[in-house]
Amino acid sequence: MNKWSVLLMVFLGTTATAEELAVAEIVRRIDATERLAASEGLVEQTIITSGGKKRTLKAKTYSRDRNDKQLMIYTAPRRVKGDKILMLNEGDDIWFYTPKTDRVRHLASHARRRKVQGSDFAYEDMAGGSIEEDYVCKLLGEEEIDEIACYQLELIPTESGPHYSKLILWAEKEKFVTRRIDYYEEGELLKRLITSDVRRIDGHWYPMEMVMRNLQEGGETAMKTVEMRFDVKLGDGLFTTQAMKRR
Amino acid sequence: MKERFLIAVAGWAERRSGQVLLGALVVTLVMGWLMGQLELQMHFKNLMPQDHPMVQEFNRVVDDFSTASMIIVAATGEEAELKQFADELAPLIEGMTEYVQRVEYRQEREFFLEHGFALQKEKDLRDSRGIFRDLSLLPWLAALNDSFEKTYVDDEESIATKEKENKAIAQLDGIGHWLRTVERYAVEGESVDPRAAEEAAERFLLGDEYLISQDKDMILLFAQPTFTLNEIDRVVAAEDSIDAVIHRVAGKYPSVEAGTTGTMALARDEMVAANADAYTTSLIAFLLIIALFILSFRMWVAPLLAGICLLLGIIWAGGIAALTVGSLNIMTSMFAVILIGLGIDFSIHVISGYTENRAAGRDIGGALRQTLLKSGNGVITGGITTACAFFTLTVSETAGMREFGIVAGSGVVCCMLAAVIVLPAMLAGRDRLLSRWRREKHRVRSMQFGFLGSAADGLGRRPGLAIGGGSVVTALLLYAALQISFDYNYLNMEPLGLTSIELQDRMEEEFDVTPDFVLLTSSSVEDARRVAEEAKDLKMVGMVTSISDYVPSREEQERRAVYLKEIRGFLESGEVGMLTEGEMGALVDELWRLEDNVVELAQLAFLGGQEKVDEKCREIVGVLEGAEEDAEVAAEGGGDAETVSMVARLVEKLEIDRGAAARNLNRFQDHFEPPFRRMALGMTSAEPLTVENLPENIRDQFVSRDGSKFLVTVYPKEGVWKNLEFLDLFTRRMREIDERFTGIPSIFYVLMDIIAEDGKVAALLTVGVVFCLLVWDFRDARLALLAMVPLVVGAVWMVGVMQISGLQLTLLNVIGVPLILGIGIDDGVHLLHRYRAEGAGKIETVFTSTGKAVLLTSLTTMLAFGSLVFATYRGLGSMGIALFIGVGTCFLTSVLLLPPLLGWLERGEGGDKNE
Repeated sequence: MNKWSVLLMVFLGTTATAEELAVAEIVRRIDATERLAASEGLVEQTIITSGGKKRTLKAKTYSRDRNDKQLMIYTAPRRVKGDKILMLNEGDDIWFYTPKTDRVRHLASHARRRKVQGSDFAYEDMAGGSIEEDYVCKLLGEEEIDEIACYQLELIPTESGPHYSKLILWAEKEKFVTRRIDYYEEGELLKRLITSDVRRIDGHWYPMEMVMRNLQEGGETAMKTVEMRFDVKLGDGLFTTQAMKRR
Repeated sequence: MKERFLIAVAGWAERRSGQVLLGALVVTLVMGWLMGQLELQMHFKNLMPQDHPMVQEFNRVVDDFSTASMIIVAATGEEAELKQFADELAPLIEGMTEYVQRVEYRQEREFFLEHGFALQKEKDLRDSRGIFRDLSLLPWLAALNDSFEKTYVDDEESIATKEKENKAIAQLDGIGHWLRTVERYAVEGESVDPRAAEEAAERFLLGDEYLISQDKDMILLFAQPTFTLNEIDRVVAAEDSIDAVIHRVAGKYPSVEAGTTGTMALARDEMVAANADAYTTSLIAFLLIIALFILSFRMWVAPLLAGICLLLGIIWAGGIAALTVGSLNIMTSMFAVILIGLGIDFSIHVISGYTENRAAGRDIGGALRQTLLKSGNGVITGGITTACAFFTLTVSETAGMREFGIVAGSGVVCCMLAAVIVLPAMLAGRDRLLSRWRREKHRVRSMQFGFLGSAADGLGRRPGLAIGGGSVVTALLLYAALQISFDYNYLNMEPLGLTSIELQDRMEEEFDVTPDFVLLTSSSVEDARRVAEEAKDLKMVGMVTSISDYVPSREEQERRAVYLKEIRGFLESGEVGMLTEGEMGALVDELWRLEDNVVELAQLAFLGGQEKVDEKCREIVGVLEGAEEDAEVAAEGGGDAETVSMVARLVEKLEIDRGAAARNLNRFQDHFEPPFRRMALGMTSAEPLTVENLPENIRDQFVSRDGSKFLVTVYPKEGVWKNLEFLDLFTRRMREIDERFTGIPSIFYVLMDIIAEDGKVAALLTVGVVFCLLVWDFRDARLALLAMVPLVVGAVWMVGVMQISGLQLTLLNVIGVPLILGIGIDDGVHLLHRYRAEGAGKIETVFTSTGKAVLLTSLTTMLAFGSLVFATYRGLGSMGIALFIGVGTCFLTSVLLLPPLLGWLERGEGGDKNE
């Protein structure tokens, strides 16, 4: 089903079957765009410290198995150079390594809901599970985000899905890249992810900038991708606690 | 009817000036006495609608809990001096029994030495219980490491909230102190005072007993007052007395600088500033206006008479204020300055008309009649219009604006009556005296402002061009006006350089809390617990205090009792083994493990942005690799971190001679273990914790006098005033947790919305009322509409100019818009009255004569409002500048837009304006 037939269904499809088909196709396309086999990149994360100062952390990122395994290796500032965070099982197991002690510590298990160090992202926000598998989806309509036509979807997590009560997601109609997500918890709007600077890298559309705004408590975390490569070959060995000790 | 009244007034002034003046004197004496009864209520809380549930709740909390308005003493300096300063100061303040019930500045040791463990969370007890299994140095240190790893390293959310951060900092502080003490023993051996080891044990178990910052360079003392924030006179007296004692004591300690901060101190500072401002600005306004008057009229006595007349009006207004509202708030406190600016206008019109008529050769009676008939009409209409504009503010929801409407409205009427009734009598009396004294005909000079007339005539001849130009300027300024923003920072309205605010900022920096707390009263401990726990989970919260911190639920107590029993078992049965030289290697390994644990916590805290935990860790482990070279980190203040790791320093000393080190460490153990065991054992008390068995000082903090309510206080982590988004989110989140939350930030936030809404309603209503009054006065809707044009356009220009000048709307200057609608109408009213009296084709005459009075009245009003710039209370300054601009723009629109509009109308009617 191409995008024109999807659009046609969205416009004309008043029957439940037609809409379900359209939603399924949109979701499948978003998953296909965003859940990539493997990636390697360089990101800059800006956090606000408890003293209100901005701090920019740079890290190399590696992911494989459609984001099931992720590794961050901090490169700057020098204070955290070489520190690593390994996320396995879609963010359920978190490990931390610092060359300063040369020890690997198990930070937490069942930590998907928890916040990534210093940020407004939860581990499960970064884990990037499958929309198709983790949510019951409904097409709410179409809306422009930054003058770009988007599908607006309501995502209700399934039992195996994230802990949020609801997500509203806007994905570009043309590229099927997520442009905005509103996260709801117990009916209240908790935070908002805005993505921008969508570029085509290795044949995949990817937003180079992401900002997560905490709408309940204020503050935001900005993630800027400086470099990104997809479909890279990353061995399983990279995502192990033993490998963390390797320089 | 108005004419008959004015002719009668002219008659009284001519024939019975003495009686009129005597009557005025009697009224003034009575009103003066009443004015003396006025109170000042300078807190912005007093602006709120007093029947608003949030205000009622706040007043209830403040009345029920004196702790809700604590006097905070904050001091900065070196740790040792700060502690000595606090020890000396506390009893002195506590001795001021008239003002202070008690002073809190050290932890209630006895209570914590008995119930310390029962107050710890179940998880913390589970993680740390191993520490008490074997108090021999090596196993103790190993257990400490185990506990540390479970608590901090294995749980990445262990420092996720401020409460958890503080707990981590306290534990790190205890570990740091322990390491320093062990090092002393390692170096000094036998000579170390055993009390050092006892202190290390106490610090490890209970933390620092003083309310001192993590950096140990700021200390706090909380004085519980015998009065509440609502008793402003006592607030001022107490704050002044306490400040005097603080400065006397601080003088003995070279490094210590101290003062008071918090709501009470700020209330006193606001009061002092407002009092001083009221006198200074009134005096400046009065002198400037009299000077302008003298320069314009080239005479000394008439301005003096106008000044006396004005003074009478202000005193009468003060008396009426005492009768109607009883007290003055931030807005009404400046009523005198406002009346000086507005009230003098009436006198100017009367004096201007009188001098013109006398200069034209009329006798006293004739001049008075002509003046009152020609100018009196405008004075009365202008006065009533302005007063009505003020009175429309009485529909406001905010008490502040409502009271302002009453005080300013009645004040304008008083000044108008004084100018119409008393001033003519004074002018007549003065002229008669001068005539008799000089025994010659007294000559009165009159100044002419011909340039105004010429300019108006020119504009009237080219209405299209003038109206077109005016429309373009108005469109541009309207665009600018729509861009104006609101300054929600309450502190920007406070006087600059207040010690209370400087200390508040420092307190926020050092303790990550601000005194801008919100409060809630619960009917049960369980309800207080629910609210406190929800608030503690928020990142935006710096600290939560609640009775539930001291009274765990029965289930919690039961669960904790299991661990208390286990710990007690360890402590009662445990024996201590001596450290052998052979075990020194293992001990050193444990020390390195401790360092690794602290380093990992530091790294996680750095990545998570928890600066204070990171800094505390670096006090122990020294400057970490990369930190010393990283400009960003250095700039963030690695200043307090040790350059060398405490552990490395200790290990280096232990490695010099392992045998001697083991002996010295055994000595440390001998001194450390008994008090540690004794204190820890005491802390395992399983006696149930209830509200009833809490120490009195803790109970007083959280339980209302009748024992029926429990106070929960939530302190925001950031200053709520610096960031509107934070203020919005904080107040909203608190009310989402429980809508009963009240407090200064919540009240202020609600107040801003109410005032903004009131401002809009008042502005629309003022326009409506003014228009109706003008229709009634002119009996001509077209003239009324014409008078409204410069007013409405002037208001738009005002906001536009404010925006272009970089000004923002504030809590106080936002009422400037409805005010200016009331004040600015006068110019148009006077000019059109004169125009109607003179007839078509007399634009030049109208603007030469009445234009002069309008220019002078605008200048005097601008000077009066401008004098508010000298107010130390910056909120009043913002109002002064706004009104200064507004009066100026209304004058400009009156003289620039009315002539072309009149010219255009005359053309339309086919009249010949030269006739």
